[in-house]
Amino acid sequence: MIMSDPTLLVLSSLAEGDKHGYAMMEDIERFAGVRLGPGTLYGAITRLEERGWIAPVASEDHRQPYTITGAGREHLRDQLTNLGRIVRTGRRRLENA
Amino acid sequence: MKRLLKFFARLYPSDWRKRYGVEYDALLEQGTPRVRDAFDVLRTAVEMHVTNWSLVKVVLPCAICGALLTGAISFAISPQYVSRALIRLTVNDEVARSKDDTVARDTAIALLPDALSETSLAAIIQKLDLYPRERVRMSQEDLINQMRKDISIRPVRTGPGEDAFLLQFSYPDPHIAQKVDREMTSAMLTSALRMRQNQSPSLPAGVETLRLETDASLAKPLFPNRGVFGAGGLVAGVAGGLLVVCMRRRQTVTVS
Repeated sequence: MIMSDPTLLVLSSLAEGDKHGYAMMEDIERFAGVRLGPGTLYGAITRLEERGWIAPVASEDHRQPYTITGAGREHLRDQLTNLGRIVRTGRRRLENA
Repeated sequence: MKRLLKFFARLYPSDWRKRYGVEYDALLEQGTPRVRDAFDVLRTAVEMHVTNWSLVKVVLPCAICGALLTGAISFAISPQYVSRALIRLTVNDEVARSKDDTVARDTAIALLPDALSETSLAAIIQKLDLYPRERVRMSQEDLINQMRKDISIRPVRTGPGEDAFLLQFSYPDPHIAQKVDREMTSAMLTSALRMRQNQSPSLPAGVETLRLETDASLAKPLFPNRGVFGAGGLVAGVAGGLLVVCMRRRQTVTVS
């Protein structure tokens, strides 16, 4: 799992609240500095929905909003914990070098 | 650009389109698309197909494509035919009893200098108009060396009291290959006759007669073996298809 993994970015975006595809793209660009292409974004949405980590929210609009599920939050927490450990280790080693 | 993106979006698997098509089109309508977005949409369309395809749907087309490709290559390569001529030697009882199996080899060695001489091979090249394409760019010496590479001579054990050596020549034209074999064996037999008349010590003792047998079975080329080419392509296609499926599955698991 790397920092620019689209599934992790989508989960992080939805952790703040429900969003449709375009809103996710803009949010991700803002907080991660990564501009996901439409294909990459929907590839990630497809995989996340298949695993039950996100779910569509009822909407009248063609733009389908998604929400993060409980399992999705748990998965995101695990991934961020792992990443936090890597970041802390890397920082410490850099400071001690 | 939006039109192009929407066109690429139509290339996604139909099941995926049924589920996500409307919202995906809505996403493509928003914002200002860039050229890299078009590549992104196209790449993902291909990935979706490969991910959704079953093992058979990936491996089978790969195998068929591999077999067709190598089959086409085998037809594009100019075939090589090998003509065969067997020179049988009848040996006297004394040699037969001694079970000496070097007679054929020694006879071939005795006759080779004449048969493979520069003069003899140059005459055959000239007479049968061999290597027309190579003659444009190669010297006579190189042509003769090329011809020597295409000739193979080896002793063959045929039975008690009889020995033989096999003379082979490979060439793209089967009829010319046979003619070359005939010319060479004729030169060898003439040489043997002359050596015997001159009682040359080079010819092994005990050889009574030399008899020529030509093999007319040149219907199939020696190279390329189209069956082997096709089978090779089939196996490579299966392996390639399996590799694609494994890579896709591995990628999917890594993401999870």
